[in-house]
Formats: sequence, structure tokens, C-alpha cells
Amino acid sequence: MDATQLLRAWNDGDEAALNELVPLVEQELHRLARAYMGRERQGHTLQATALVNEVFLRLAEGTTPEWRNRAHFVGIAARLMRRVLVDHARSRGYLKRGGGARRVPLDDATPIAPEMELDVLAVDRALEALAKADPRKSQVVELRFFGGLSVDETADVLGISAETVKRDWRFAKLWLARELDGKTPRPPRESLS
Amino acid sequence: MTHRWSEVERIVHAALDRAPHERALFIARECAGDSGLAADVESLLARETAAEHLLSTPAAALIAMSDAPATFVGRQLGTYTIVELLGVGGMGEVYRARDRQLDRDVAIKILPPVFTNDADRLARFDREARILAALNHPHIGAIYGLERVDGVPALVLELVEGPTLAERLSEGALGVTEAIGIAAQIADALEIAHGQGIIHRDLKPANIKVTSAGRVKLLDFGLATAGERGEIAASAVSVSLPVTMSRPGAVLGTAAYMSPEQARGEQVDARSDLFSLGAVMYEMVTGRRPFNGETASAILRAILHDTPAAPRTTNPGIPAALDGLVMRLLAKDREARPQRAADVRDDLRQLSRELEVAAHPRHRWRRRGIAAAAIIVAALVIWTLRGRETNGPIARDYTQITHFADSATSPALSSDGRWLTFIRGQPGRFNGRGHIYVKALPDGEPIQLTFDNLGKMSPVFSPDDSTIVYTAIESEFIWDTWTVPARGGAARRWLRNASGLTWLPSGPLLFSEITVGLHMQAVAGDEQRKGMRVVYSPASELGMAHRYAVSPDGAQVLIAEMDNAVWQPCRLVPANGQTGRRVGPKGGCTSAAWSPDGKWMYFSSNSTGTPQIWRQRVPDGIPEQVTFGPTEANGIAVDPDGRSLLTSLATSHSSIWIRDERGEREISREGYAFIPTLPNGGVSQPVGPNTREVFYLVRQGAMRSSGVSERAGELWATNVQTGAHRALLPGRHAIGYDVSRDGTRIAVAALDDRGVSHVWLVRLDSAEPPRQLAEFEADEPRFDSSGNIFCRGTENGRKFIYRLREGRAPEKAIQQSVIFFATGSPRGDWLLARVQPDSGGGHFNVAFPAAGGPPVRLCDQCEVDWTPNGKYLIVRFGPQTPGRTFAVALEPGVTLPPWPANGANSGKDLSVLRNVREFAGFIYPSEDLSTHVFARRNMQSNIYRVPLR
Repeated sequence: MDATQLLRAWNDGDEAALNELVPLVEQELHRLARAYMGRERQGHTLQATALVNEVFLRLAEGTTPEWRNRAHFVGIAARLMRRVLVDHARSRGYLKRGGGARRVPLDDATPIAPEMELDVLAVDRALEALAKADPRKSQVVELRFFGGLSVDETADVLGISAETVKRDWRFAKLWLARELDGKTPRPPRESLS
Repeated sequence: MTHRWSEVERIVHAALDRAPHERALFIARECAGDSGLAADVESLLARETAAEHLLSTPAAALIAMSDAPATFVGRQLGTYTIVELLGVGGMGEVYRARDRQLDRDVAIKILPPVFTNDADRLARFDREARILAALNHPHIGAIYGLERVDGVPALVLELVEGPTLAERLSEGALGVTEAIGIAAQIADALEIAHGQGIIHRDLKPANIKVTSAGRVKLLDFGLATAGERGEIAASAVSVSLPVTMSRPGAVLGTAAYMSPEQARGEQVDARSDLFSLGAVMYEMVTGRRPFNGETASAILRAILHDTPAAPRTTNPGIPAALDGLVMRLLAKDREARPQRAADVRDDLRQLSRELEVAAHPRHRWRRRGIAAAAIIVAALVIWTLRGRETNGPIARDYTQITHFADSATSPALSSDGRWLTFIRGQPGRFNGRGHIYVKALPDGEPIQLTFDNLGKMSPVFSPDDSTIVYTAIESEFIWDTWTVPARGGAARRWLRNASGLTWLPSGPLLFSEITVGLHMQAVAGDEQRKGMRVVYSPASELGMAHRYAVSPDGAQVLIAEMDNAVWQPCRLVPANGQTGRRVGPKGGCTSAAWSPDGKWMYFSSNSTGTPQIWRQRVPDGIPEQVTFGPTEANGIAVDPDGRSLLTSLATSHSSIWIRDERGEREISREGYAFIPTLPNGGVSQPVGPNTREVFYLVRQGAMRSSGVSERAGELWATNVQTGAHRALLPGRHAIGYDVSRDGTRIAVAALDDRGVSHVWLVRLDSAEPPRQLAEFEADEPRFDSSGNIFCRGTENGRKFIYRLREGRAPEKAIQQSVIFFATGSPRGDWLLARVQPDSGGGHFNVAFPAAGGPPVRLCDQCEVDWTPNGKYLIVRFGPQTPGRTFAVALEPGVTLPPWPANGANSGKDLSVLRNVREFAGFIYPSEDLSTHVFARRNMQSNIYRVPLR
């Protein structure tokens, strides 16, 4: 199956298709990012939303899948991105460090966690917990963070006001930050390679 | 969604819309009496800064950027070649680049391509460039230019190598002289900035870099001046560090140095930066922040309302003038502070000159009068003696070579004896984290050569003296040999699985290699590991050959080795590889050396209880002691002229402190006062059921040097109200104790002359003299609430927990053997111990149900105890600094709450429990948690030259 068929299969409820889809999306993301930065696209810039959109437009190229509407499409894209990012984190070997049993030396100086090393797996788990407590906030986070949507775009997709999106986003991040606190500190970047 | 959830959300939003200083009151009102609700709200608000960074880079951008290093590295940008990626964050990627024209390295910060049409971030980028361009000063990280790479803006910045002050402070306080030097340079930089109308607004240790030459550079300067509130930390991308994010430390770090006017959200001015400078200085000299709290709002409250204890109460070595200056800088009212950075700088320079003169009186004689110098010297001598009162003075004919407030160990000399290398770092740790230093003898400035966080051991000069070679320990099983140029440069891994490396005179390398598990053997060969042969392989599978001293003729090697993690006597083996024999004094030998003529062997050995230098004539002389006294001597470098050796002499001080409604104060009597901790002392309980008296052990004078045991001390009690001290078991070498739950008696384990422990019972009303309970050899005594005493005893070489009752034979409380007995619950239903599972593997702490049944795994490394009333379970992680203590409120009838399945190894694992309170430090709280007791320990070691006769 090509990417388009996979995307459609997944959309139709075939979860197995997702496993094949994820590496394709990641590959496409990297390719696009490089293309944007390469000389052939000099003067162009790259935006997260555009990036996600373009990836999906390419994958869905040449077909007119039966997306029920834009909100549906964006929702699917955000979910897929979430899965891509989680798999990406796992493949980089982050998972083995996430185990709760690892003992952290007590005299460890406060480590500085570069944003690149955001504990995506912990965010993913925390987001699941958030979905149980307050499903709308978890959707806002999924669309904003994984889907790359702006406040206004998120408001459009969910059919709520931009003000509500802002407040949901603000509260959700506080709540997630608290959830993520005390998770195993990430080792410095160089030790991961 | 629950009602509670909506309520929390409503209050959080409303609080966020208020100024920070109004929030506490607002929350108190809104949560009226519902402390759980207030705690929930507060814990969310505490994450405000963390949340600002969180998820600020969309996921797609994170993935797209994850191969960013490949994108810019190697590219040309005008005259710059991009060499490597130093850090990445949402605010920029920072690269090291080579400026080919000027032949220097620079830092280049590039906005990630995904943001290049984000107007806000572009504006911030430009603002940083403009502000930096306005500030040209040796103590401010400079900007060299603003370039564009493929249309993407890039800042070209001065590359500042070295750790940040925050990294330095994570290892403890700095010496007074160094702290003054750093503070003066910061003040100098602030003066220039303030003169340009630029206020830093985020002065904190993480924004201050200290280069190896001791030069200070302020980073992230002025980023906050035009920023909105809350943007301060978000824009704090330093030249050398990646963006910090979503860690609570980051929040506290920023709040902790904020001036009161900033905390109130008022207009700031130059004097606000001076307040922050005061807070940084306070931390430099005491190792502690002046304002503390568990949440950002608690810290802000402290900044607004609390006056910190004067630095001298923590460190009496701080000159009064410095103490006064720090406290003036921390004045709540900015009118009461020094008004200009230049005034602060001038005061600091004056102070620095006075200290220098006091330390080197001969300079003073030339400059000023002898009388004035004599007064200062006298004052300094008094201070020095006071600081070392527990240890006695260091022998008069020793010459002090290093002058650190923390620790300098492992001395080694260059072949001509003119250069010294050593490790500066955690005192009292054989392979702890530290940095390699080099110093020209006798008076050169010590120069820091390494800046990583690895454990270090055994630095030596290469045969040509160009390089320093040392062991770096990344984890329990990764011991590699690294090199760093002796004149400074990049440290590099040289040989994997190679430690304690040295050279044989004929050329080959001699080093340790891990074979299996812990087993470490001595091998010789070249750096490609060709022609390798085993020089010595310990017979025991837990044997570790660690350090080597090769005789001048290359024929023999002295080896310092461990077995089962305990240092053994040194071993002399022929370099051609035979088992050899033990030499030197009995007891653990941690290092060895030869005299240049090969006639003497030197050892650092603890055969008298305290590590001292010994020597023995080759081959079969009687070992004789070289250094004496209570000071510990570790490491040996014999001068090439054979007339002196360098060693690291350690002095230590420990005192007991209480924190109650009157604040924090020292309560212990003179001497080395301590509270025994696991593994040696079990969980000794210093606080009785009524916090009237505090119990602790004291070592001093004869007790300290008697050699019976390093873990013993005399049992003393201090009355918290009156400050009166009394000895409870005078003259006895106590190693652990426990107060009965009703507060009438104390059970003490004390050693007899042969070092055998017995349990004693002491009545606190002194109605009867202390008496020994039984001839039975036992230690770690613990009371339960019925007055039964449990203790640890021995049967057939294995340790068990016993119940002691008057007039009856001791009976085993549980059938399983233990390593240590920690404590019993007040109700007597649980017994806590350290065990090694039958399946092998590491030790851990468990709780045994006294009635029988499977034990509960508590933790790998912790102390668990109860308050005497059984209302709180206390869990301590440590005891090294900083340490954390958690108090778990217990429901009525519960002794041990449902425990995490794999045990608890940090506060995070305890978060599944309810009603947990966290305390900074390794502390012993009172029954109602209102008061607590803790030990404060300082260890200092410096390198001295010891003459040889």
C-alpha cells in the first residue's frame, strides 16, 4: 500500500496501517525541513502549521479522501503527528530511561533539559490523563502542540472561542507541567548518542 | 469534569490575572479553609514559568529540527565556519564556529528556521543584538555581529568557555577570596550597563560564567529590559546553554534572586540588580540561597517579608565587612541599599586587598605598617584556629599549597617538581565529581582544566609534562582514561576501560582494566593495547587494583587495591608480573609513592583509624609514621629532590542545628557533633517525643584520635530552651542510640575497648546510673512503644534482629538475616532492615511485618522512620547534600501506607502517597513537624608540603 492508501486505511479504522504510516510521515518531515533550509528554497521559511499541512497534502496527493471536513482532517493529522513524535522519541532510546525504577543520584546538580529533549513519552502519558479529566483541554493541546495550529485555527476546528482556547491552553500547560515535574531528569544530550 | 476541577481552574485563572504579590491573599480568601484546594492551586501556579516554556515548539518543528546538526555544521557563513552544535532550543540553535580571519572560535546563535517568520521571536532576536552591541565590556559576553544564513538571522557572539556560576555553586560554597573576586567583576559589568540605562533584571548564577582564568562574563544581558513580564526566562538562551524548560528548579531559580520591587511587579531600577547581586553573593559564600520556599510564591513571600540569617552564622570565616555588605545589598528598601554598582565594586576591591595583605604579610610590610598587619594576622590566626578547633592545628613546619574552602586532593607533580596537578571537588569521596586543576609552585594561581561532571581520580603528568592524564568515571562500570593539556585545552577520552594509568620507565603504560563485574586487574601495554600483559590480578572476584606507584628503576610496582569495596594494605609486585606481597602498615592503604632514590616506600594508610602518611625502607624495614594528629592525610607526591612530599590534609567540622519558631541555630557543643546515619548507625533518633532535648554524638580530642572507631562519639544532649549540654554516657564510644517512645530512657550501642558493641540503657532523669543490658554483642538498639528493645545481634557470622528483655536470653524477632537493622515502628508491627536478597544483587531496605509474612521493599537508599507518636512516616533520601526529607501523614490505624511496588528512590516515587510534605535537606522533624533538627557538615581539604627528614 502506498502512503495514500495507508492514510485512508487508518482513517477507516485499520490501526495496523498506522504502524506503516508513521515512518513515512517522519521521513517526509525531515525531507521537507531540509528542503526548506536548502539553497534551492532560499528565502523561503518554514512554519510548523504549513509543515504539517504540507506533509499530509503530499501523503494524500492525487486522491480526494472522504475527509468529512477540515476539522476532521486536522484532527487526524494531529493524532498522527502525536504518534510520530512518540515513536520518534522511543526510537531515540528515550524509553529505556523513563522507567520509574532508575535511581537518580541525590547530589546531582539540577540538570538543564534542552527543549529538544522534552520527555515526549511523559507528555503523551500526561495527556492521556488530562483527556480523562477534561477532554476538551486535551484536544486543545493535541491540536496546538501536535497539529501545530494557532489559537484561532484551534478555535475554528473545535468550534469554541479563541479566548476559551487561550485559557484552556494556559491551564492545560500548568497542569501538564505539574504532571511532568519529578519525572526522571533527562541525562545531558551527549550521553544519548 | 468535576466541580472541583472547575473550581481549581477558575481560581488559577483569576490568580494569574493578578500581580504575583496579591496572589497569596487572593488564594487564601478563595479557598477559605480548604487547605487541599489551596495546595492544589498553589502547586499549579508554581509552574507558571515552567508552563511558559512547555510545548512552545510545535511537535513537527521538534522532529524537523532533530537532524538540525547536519544542516548547519560545516557550512560557511562569511568568514565563519560552523563547527559543531553546542545547544538547541526553541529560541535558537547555538553553534561553535571558527572565525578564519581572526583565528578564534565564536558562538553563533541561529533562530530555528521554523520560526523565521514569527515576528515576536524575530523582534526579540534583534533586541538582544542591539542591547549587546551597546555593551562593550570585558565582563559582558560580547556580540561580534548580526549575519544571515540563507535568509535566516544569526547572532555572532563571544564564545565563553567554562561553567556557569550555578554549576559551580551546585558543588557548594566558594572560598571567600574567590567569591569577592567574582562579585567585584559582576559589579563592574553592572556599572557599565546601568550607565547605558540597561537593567539586567535577571541576574542569577545561571547567567554568570566563570572562565578557567577566573574571569567573569555576564550572559543574557538586558534580555529582560524590554520584555514583558514572564518573558524573562523564556528569552534566556545563553550563548553556551540550551534553553531551560519546564523544570521546577528553573522557576525557583528565577524567583530566588528577584528584588522585592520586582516581586511586587513594580518598576525596577539599577538598585534591583544590586539586590540580585547581594543574593548571588550570599549564595557564593554560604552555599545557600537567602530566600527559600517550596513554591515560587513562597519564595516571593520570603523575599518580601523575611530577613535571611547573616552569612556569618553559616560560615564564620566570612569577614564582617563582607557580611555587612551582603546584608545591605539585600535590604528590602532600595534606598537602604548601596546605590551604585561602582560603590559595591570599590568596597569589594578594598576588601580583597585587605584579605590579600592578611594572607601574605610580607607584602604588607612593604606597603604599610607592621602593626596593622600584625592585627590582621592575629585575627586571621584566631579565625583559622577556631575553624579547626575540632582538629587541632596543622603541624607548624607544613606549608599550605592550596587554599580552597572545599577540597583539593590527589596531588601529583611534574617531573621537575615545579607544577602541581590535583582534583578539586567533593571532599571525602575517593572518586567523586571534581575538576582537574594545575598550579605553578609555589605561588601560581590554581587553574581549572576540566569542566565536566564526571567523577575523577588519580591525575598524573605525562612523562614529557605536556599533558595531564586522569581517570574519569561515568558510572559504576565505566572507568576511562582521559587527557587534558597541562596548559589548558579540551579534555578528551583517551583509553576506554583504563584507570589509574601511569607509565613504566621503559615506556609502556600501566593501568587498571575491569575484567568481569567489579574485578579490576593491573595490565601493561601500549595505547593500542598491543603486547598487553597482566601485571597483577587480584585473587578475589571483588578485588580492584586501583592505583600504582612504579619504583624509579621500573622493576617493582606498589599497588593500592580494594577488596569488596574496602581498601587493603598496599601490595608490592615485581613489574614482570607476579602476585607479590603486602607491604607497609596494616589497614587500608589508599595510595603509595617512592622516594626518588628508590630507597623508601610511602603509603597513605588508615591503620591508626585516621589516614596518615607512613614510610618503610625497601625492602623490609619497619613501617614508620610520617604525619600525625587528627587531620586526615590522603595522596602522596614526593618532590623530585626527595626532601618533602605533598599530601592532601583534611579538616572537618560537623554541628547540630535546630530550626524552630525562633529560626535556625546551632545547638551542639564543641567538637565534631553528628547524628549517626545508615549504614553504620542505623536510624538514630535525635529528637525525643517532647522536643525538649536533642541527642547527638560528639567526637573530640582523645575520642577522635583513639582509633577505636571512626563512627563512634560520646552521647550528648542539649536542652533546646536553655542551651545547656550534658553527657549521657560519659567516656563511652557510642555508635547509635534511640529514645524510648515515652521519652524517659535512651538505649545506646557503645563500643568496648576491643571495639565490640553492647547495648546500654540510660535514664534521662538520671535517677539511676547507666547500665549495660547484657553481655550479648549487639548494636542498633530500637524501642517500640511498649518499651521492648530490638537490636541487631550476630549468630554464626550472620546478623539478625533480636528482642532484648531484662533477665531473659535475647530472642530472634524474625528468622531472616539482615545486613543492618534500621528501626521498628512505634506500634511494634513493622521492623525495618537492610537486606541482601537470596537471589544476589544489590542491597535494599525492607519492612518486615513483625507478625511474619513477606517483607515490603522500601527503597535502595533511604532512611525510613516514624515520629514517636506514630502519626507521620518520615522518609529521608541522602544524607549527602542536598538530601530530601518527606513526612507522610498516616491515617489512624495505618503504620505503613500502600507502598510503590518497586520501592521509593526519590520524592517522585512518593507522589503516589497522599498527604506528603517535603523538606529540603536531611532532617529529623519533631512529632508535629513544626521543628526539625539537622547536622551541618563541612569538610575542607587542602594540599600541604610536608618536610621529610
